[in-house]
Amino acid sequence: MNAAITIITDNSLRNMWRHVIHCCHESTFILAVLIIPAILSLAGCGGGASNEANPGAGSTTAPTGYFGPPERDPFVAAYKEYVWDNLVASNRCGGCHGTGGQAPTFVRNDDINRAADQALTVTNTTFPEQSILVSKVGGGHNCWLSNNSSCATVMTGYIQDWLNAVGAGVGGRDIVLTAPPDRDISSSRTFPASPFDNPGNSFAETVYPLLVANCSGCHSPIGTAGRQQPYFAYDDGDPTTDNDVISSYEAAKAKMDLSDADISPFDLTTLDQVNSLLAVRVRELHNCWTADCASDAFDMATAIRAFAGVIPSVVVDPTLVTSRALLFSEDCDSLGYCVVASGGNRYENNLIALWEFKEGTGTTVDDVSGVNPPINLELSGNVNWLGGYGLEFNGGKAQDISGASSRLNASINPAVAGGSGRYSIEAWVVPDNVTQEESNIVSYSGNNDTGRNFTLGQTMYNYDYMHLSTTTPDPINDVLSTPDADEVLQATQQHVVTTFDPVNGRRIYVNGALTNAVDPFAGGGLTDWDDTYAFVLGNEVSDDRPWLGKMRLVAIHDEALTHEQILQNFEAGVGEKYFLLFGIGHIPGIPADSYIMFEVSQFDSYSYLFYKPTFINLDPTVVPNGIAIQGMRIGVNGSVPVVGQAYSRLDTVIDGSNYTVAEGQPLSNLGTVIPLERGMQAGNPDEFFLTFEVLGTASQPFIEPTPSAPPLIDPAPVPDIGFRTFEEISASMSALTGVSASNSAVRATYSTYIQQLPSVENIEGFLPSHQMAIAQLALTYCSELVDNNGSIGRDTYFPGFDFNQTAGTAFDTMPERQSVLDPLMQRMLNVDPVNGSLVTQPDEAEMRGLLGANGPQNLLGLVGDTSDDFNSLIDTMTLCLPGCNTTARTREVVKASCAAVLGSAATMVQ
Amino acid sequence: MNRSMQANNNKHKACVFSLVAVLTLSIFSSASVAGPREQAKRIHDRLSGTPPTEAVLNDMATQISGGDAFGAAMKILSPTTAGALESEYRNSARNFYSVTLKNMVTPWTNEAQTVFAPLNDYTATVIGMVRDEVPFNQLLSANILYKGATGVVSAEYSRDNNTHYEQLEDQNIDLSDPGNLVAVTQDAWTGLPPNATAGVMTTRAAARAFFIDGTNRAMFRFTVLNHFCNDLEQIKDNSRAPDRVRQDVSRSPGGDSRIYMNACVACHAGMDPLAQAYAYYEWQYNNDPDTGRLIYTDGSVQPKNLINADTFKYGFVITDDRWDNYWREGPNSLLGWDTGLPASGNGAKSMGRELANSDIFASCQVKKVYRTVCFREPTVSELNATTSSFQAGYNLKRVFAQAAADCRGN
Repeated sequence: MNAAITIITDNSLRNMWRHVIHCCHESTFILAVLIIPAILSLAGCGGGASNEANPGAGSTTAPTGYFGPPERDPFVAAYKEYVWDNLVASNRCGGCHGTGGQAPTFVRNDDINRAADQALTVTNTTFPEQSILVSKVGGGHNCWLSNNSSCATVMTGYIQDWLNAVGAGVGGRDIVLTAPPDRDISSSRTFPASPFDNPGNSFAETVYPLLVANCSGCHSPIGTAGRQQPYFAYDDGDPTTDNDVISSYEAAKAKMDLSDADISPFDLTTLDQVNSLLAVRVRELHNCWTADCASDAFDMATAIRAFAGVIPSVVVDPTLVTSRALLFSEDCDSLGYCVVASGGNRYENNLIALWEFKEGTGTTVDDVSGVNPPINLELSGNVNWLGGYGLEFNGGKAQDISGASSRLNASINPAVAGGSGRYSIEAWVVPDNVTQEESNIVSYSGNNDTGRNFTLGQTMYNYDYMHLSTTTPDPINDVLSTPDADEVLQATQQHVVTTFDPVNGRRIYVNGALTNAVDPFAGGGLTDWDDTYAFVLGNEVSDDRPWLGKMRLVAIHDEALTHEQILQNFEAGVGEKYFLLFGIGHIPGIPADSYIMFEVSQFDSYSYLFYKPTFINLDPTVVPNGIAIQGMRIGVNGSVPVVGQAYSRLDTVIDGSNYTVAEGQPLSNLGTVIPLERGMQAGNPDEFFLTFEVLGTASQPFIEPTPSAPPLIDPAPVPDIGFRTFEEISASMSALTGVSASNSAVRATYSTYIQQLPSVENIEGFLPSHQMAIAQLALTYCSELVDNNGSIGRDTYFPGFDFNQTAGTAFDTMPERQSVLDPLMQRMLNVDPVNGSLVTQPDEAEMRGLLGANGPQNLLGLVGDTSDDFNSLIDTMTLCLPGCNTTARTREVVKASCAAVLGSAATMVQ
Repeated sequence: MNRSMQANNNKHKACVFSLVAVLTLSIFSSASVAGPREQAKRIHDRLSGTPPTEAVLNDMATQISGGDAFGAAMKILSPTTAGALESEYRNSARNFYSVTLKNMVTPWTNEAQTVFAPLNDYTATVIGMVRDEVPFNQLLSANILYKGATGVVSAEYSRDNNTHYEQLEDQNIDLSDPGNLVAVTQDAWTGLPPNATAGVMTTRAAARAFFIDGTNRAMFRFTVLNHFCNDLEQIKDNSRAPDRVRQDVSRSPGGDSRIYMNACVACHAGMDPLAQAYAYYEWQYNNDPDTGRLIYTDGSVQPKNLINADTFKYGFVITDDRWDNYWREGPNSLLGWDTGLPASGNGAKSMGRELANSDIFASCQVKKVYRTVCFREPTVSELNATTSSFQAGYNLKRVFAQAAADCRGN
């Protein structure tokens, strides 16, 4: 959308320069013609606006017939088609403002031309939403829907359609920029310099003890459950030191909202108004310390309130260079603090149903398309209203139970007279996740078994589009999905549109772009649709395809929208948008009537979106030049949040060459989200202001607090020894046996067992499976050694041992056995003839005994107790004699002795 | 093998297994004061990963007795300083470079952080830089690459596969030998312009692991993880200006902007302006990523940096490879940035220089060495002293020797 600004003078209204922003696709300037609305009062039938009974939603009662002269011109004809016909019913306006009724008689049935004239007295043709017709029904005057804002939306639509039909409309809306009231920044609390300030209610005595007691497992540099920034719960265990409290205090500041001090004791119990993240996170079940998270959160909120309550409320730091303040509330437009910017730019010529979710309360979502009868949806199950318009579906649904859904069939089904045979589903959605499958977002269906006319759904990263047609007779399984690999569905706000026409078949657009989903089926006809099905959001009618996520707008069109139209609706966005003009004319060096203008909207329930900051002066005779702007930050409620300051590095100059009277000078194309604190509710909304490091000739450097370094702490004691890892084991065995690691047998064994060998040195992670793999590898190395396949011949390795003797004689003396064991002790245990054994190695004599002692041995020296008796390895391996009296057995005994040492802790532990 | 022999063999294996287990346990019963020989044994074990020969053990013990444990360790790392026993120490050095050091580095080179990955150019380059005492603060910026000398293995270095390095490993080539593993310039072998080389970040292995698909932020995250010894979780800071957070980052994940404001932005605000240095790199492949190659499009932002623009259309749009270090202010100023460097620039080379000249980079290298050699973190005094001496010349080999001397069991 290009915004063009035209300046007009309207001294009769506000006696001030005004800017008009024309929201349309042309960037040309248009002189907006202000129709000064007649100050007429629409007397309500009941004599007042606020206490009248809702005349009921649903269809209009039978319209009164028209008995007067024909329309004098197309303008009046359009009025009759788009306004009169929709309002003439007795349960709307016809009951009072008809012929002979109360003035203005804009739905009289005796003369449509006079009715139109009467209507003009309560219509603002430049700003339809500012028409008295709109403000009356929006204020509750005989609203026929469940929500007054829904009636206002519908009435605005009627007027826009009327004006657009005869070219009197502008296809968009002109927006008047007016200077907001001068407002000083309200007072607020700021954090004390020290966590020990305000004894009795200091941070150290209120919040800190709770943090240390319940959060220090993670949020501490010495956390035992895993260190996790920020370290706001650090306690070094030494009550004489303060650094732990000070560093915790600094870390906790961003998680505490001092305005929580203003929460009443009652409201504190509900936790609804608590803003401090320390409490909010606990309330959200983040590591509560008892079984009752709400109670824990209450304790935390109470502590924060006690801490904040004694901090005096002060005005914003007077040294800061600040703008004027603005209140950002639902009624900020009428208060003059903002200008409504949204609406009017969507393509809706073929709209047949529209849900904007602006109600905010209740159990009904109004269809605000203005098409009768409205398809109002009833909420059931777990569905919640969102701030900034929207519904959150947590397993519940919003379903038409009036039968009005049949109107969709009537408009689309070509078997019905006037049915288009084409349609589009449009939605702004925020999927909660990308894991849910076969979940219905928008559906017009019976139940999951009997079928559907159409469904927009989600399966993980994909949007699914199913419908009943002559070429897709199975609307359960004839699914068109966005491609898996594209992952077009993301758990963020997206604009999704499906279109169908018989020529092009089904298409899916996401965020204004046609996806790669190619319909495998030809177009077909929609003649088999079932008009008894119900329209439903967030689930299947039968409740068995719940979708988790948020919706901010849903629309149905009885036409396949073109790509351009879809892009137009995507660009128009969703939700109410506002212009905020922060006054800076009071700053030295800045011309009067200068403002920093932002476009702002409530982004979701927890933040606002600020974007397109622009310097503008409302006096068209002023061309600002040479104005420096640096380090701009957005303040809220007297303080400047640390998060979201996307313009804090801004460094620019307003000069004549880049500034235009019409559009000012954009400062940035970026947008940012700022935390919502109080919300937009009238009476106590969030108050915004701007601060600057440099603005004009004023400056105040932004000083960041000096971070304090977390203390360095010696590591906790760990075992002094570790295990060799897989490749070290093989390399060690290779070095100790002289057999190359490249030996084919070794490589084969190593390749088989590499993943089973230890991969970390941690001695406490040693497992029996590791030992099995080590033993296999040790046996292979020793086998290759004894089989003379190493770089050291076996006779060299085991000097004096006769491999040609059979097992019966090779080991029948201790010297023979020692000739096997001696080289193993020397090579593998570093037993030195001069220096002896290493004291860090197993006892040499014990090992020799285990390996080669002749006869039964006593391991632990228990006298008269056989539980520690054993036979040495060589004895055990020669028990088979005389049946195994072979030289092969001799080699096996040597291999086993070698492997027993090679694969033991003596070589594997380091 | 007949059944009786099979049974006999199994019985024999079982016997060995149980004896090995007994011997494994027996080690824990020994507790004595370690003398020079025991200290020498541990130093050798921890550096080489293998037990020493008797000659090496006694030689080291003698030097340790003389009060020079550091010098004893250095003989393993630089066997040419070992005099008459040089050939004995060469075996020790071989295992240090080909086993201990290689296995320390290998997990840095893949996203799964597995040690069981094949040798590659990233690992080989680190091995060579340590061996040749190349200042380690050039790790993320130098135009350097280590490869096998021509003819050592049949496959030459290739941009399109890792065969060369796999052959070096499979054939057990001694990487401690300067005749086998040689230094070359990256631009000569990879096709990158010299100013696009950035040490190990622009090796084939790193590109395969971290420039593949995605948005190239993986290269930054894993570089921080491996060389700052912290994941982004530990250095997040949501107080930095989010003006460089790109369009593909949802400001309201699942419709809850608190997640963005409390978590996402804390990493992205600092990471995105730094990772922009990778704007021109891409891992190009068809079906098999392992046969892809690193490409660099000088002056042209890779499309991967502009994907998912509608996730938040008011986000930052990358137009070049300009990087800025927002972490020089705020809590992460404590990471110890080099004030002699400009804190901003263009491309991965200068950004890598920014990272590798920080205090956190230096202390992380020291920590990793202590973990490898001592199986523990360094004490505060060890960390401070060793980091300080390391930063004097960025000789990582001396850090290994110092760590081995520090935890020799005395």
